[in-house]
Amino acid sequence: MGIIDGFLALFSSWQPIFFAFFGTLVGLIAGALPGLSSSATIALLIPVTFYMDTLPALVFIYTISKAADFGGSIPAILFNTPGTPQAAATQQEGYPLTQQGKQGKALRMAVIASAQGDMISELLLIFGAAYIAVYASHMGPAEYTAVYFCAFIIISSLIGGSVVKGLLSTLLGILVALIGFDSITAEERFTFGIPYLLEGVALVPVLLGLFVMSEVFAKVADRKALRGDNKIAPKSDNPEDNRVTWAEYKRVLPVIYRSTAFGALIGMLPGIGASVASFVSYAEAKRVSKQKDTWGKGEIEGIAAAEAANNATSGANLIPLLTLGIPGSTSAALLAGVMLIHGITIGPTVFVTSHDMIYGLFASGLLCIFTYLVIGYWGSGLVGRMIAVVPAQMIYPFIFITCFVATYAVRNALFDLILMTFFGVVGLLMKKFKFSIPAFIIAFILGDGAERSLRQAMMLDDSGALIFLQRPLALFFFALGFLAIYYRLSQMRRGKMTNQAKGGDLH
Amino acid sequence: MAKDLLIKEEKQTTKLNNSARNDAIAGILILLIIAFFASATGKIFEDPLDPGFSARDFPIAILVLLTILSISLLRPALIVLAKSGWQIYEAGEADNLLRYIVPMVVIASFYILLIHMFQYPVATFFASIGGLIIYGNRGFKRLLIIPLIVTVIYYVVFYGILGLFEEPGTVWSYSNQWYFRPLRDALGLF
Repeated sequence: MGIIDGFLALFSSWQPIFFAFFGTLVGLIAGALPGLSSSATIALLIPVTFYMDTLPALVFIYTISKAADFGGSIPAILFNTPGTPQAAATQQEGYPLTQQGKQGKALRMAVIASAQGDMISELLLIFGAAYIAVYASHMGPAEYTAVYFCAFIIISSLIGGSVVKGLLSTLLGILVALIGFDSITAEERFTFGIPYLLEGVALVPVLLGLFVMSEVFAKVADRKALRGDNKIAPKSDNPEDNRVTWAEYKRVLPVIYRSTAFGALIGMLPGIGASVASFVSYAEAKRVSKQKDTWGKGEIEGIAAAEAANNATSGANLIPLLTLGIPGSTSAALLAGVMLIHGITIGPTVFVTSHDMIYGLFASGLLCIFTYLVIGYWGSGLVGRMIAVVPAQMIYPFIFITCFVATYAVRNALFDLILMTFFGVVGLLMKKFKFSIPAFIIAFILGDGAERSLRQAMMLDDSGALIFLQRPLALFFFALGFLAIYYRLSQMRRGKMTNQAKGGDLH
Repeated sequence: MAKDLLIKEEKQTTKLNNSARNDAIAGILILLIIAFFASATGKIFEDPLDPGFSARDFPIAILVLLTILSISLLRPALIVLAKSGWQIYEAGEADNLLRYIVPMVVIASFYILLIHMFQYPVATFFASIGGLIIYGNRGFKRLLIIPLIVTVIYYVVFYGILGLFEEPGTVWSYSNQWYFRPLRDALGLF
């Protein structure tokens, strides 16, 4: 059985186990630090994984992203500042509980719901992905082209507020991926006479520039947030206020299961992250709740809904990555980057070619859930107090320094530092102009594969583009892509008049 | 009541103008990027016998799509701006840009130059001081002691333990081999 092989691989040496625990701890703290997203932390640590064996490297990155999904709820509950964007839904009910001195109850509810949602999602990944991969392994270049098209359309239209800006972000990501030798005929493209660009634009400078350096540039002007005074409200003396009672747990259990289902489904769709899942589940739990008047005043059902859905995306979004080679989220895209760097070909064959590695990764996910459940249940308050004493204005300058050494570590090239700074400015502009950085990154990672599939498909048959009409699965994915964009455009058209009347964005 | 409505309307107009201004700038920047890349498409070798899409066709398709979309972003933005009489300046934004963001970008650029000239430790020490100052830190401990400690830790971890290659500086060149060698020997890294 795969997962047993995975545990054997995980326990085969000290490194995977150590990095599973260490990654969980790093993820918890990084998630809890407002402003430092899990993607940014992973991007910063990717160069360190070059010095590790493949399994510890993958385990380290995966456990960081999993634990950070829960870690974001700690400052959301304690300081009314979400550590990650998806924790903003948790904040709605968590902070009112803190104001009542019930932060212990809120944090424990968050960790129980997170672990439960995450566990179900991880089991879905462990027992479901390999079956989907069997079907996916029969797909050819034409089907893959359609899958890429569908993924690009979904990523472009569903991430962020504007379809046009989403599409532009995606196309710009593909354009940057085209720099360097073309992967089929090895023709030189868009190198502008710079020898460093012959092998293409390296992944790490792009990741660090867009995710981390842009944040360093953006945060420097946010003086109010930098001076933010994080004080934890006094805790209630009543022990009932600092734990989740059995009656409360039974009450929230259906909410956890429903939200986990939402999270897992949303997580499987490429590009739609945990933020959408947690807000959709929060809204749905509120809609069906029998105690609507307690919402917004510290309703634990709200925390459970947001956290279960948020963490349920983390296992599920590896399903499209491992079965189709399409990352379901930014964290999955970063994991894909680490896999590529370590020579693992992502896609359905990964279950055969890297069987122990993949199941070892799944086993580390289970270990990570157990670890953050234990740390989170008894130690969330301590993590919160740690964050409260470190001022943001001290953290960012050292993140800035870390970006440089992390980028330089990739191939010891000063040119990469220039690229990273350039992408930092690009990322800053993208944030300012409300373009989608995740869409750009995912397209940048997938761009080369998409072009290769398209060109291979066109070479396979004399009928040219008509080949796509002869393949039912390809037609299905093309139709799905068009349907997604049609749905989003019609949704936007309905909201456009209202939005413009309110003085909102043009796109 | 009428005054409140007027203020609300003014705020909405400003928000719409800002959005239009941002879209217009973004649209123009993307068109410039397209022009830059388009100028290089002619240099991509195209094999006339290549079946299907050639190495040049795919980039051209992407550039065409980008052009259509950036025009569709730019056009409505320009219409809104023209109606508003080209009110594009917002107080405070330029101030933040010049006081904090531009200096931070300048420090990043100087940091690379300093590494090139003086190698990693010297450059990191001064760049971290610069970063800390712009981020509003003050005092001897925060501006001298902490950067010194952090520089030493980073230097030992990345160049000592992980063994990164340090390019010789163009102004001041030194080798880290003699002082990191005993450390790496002790850790069994050689």
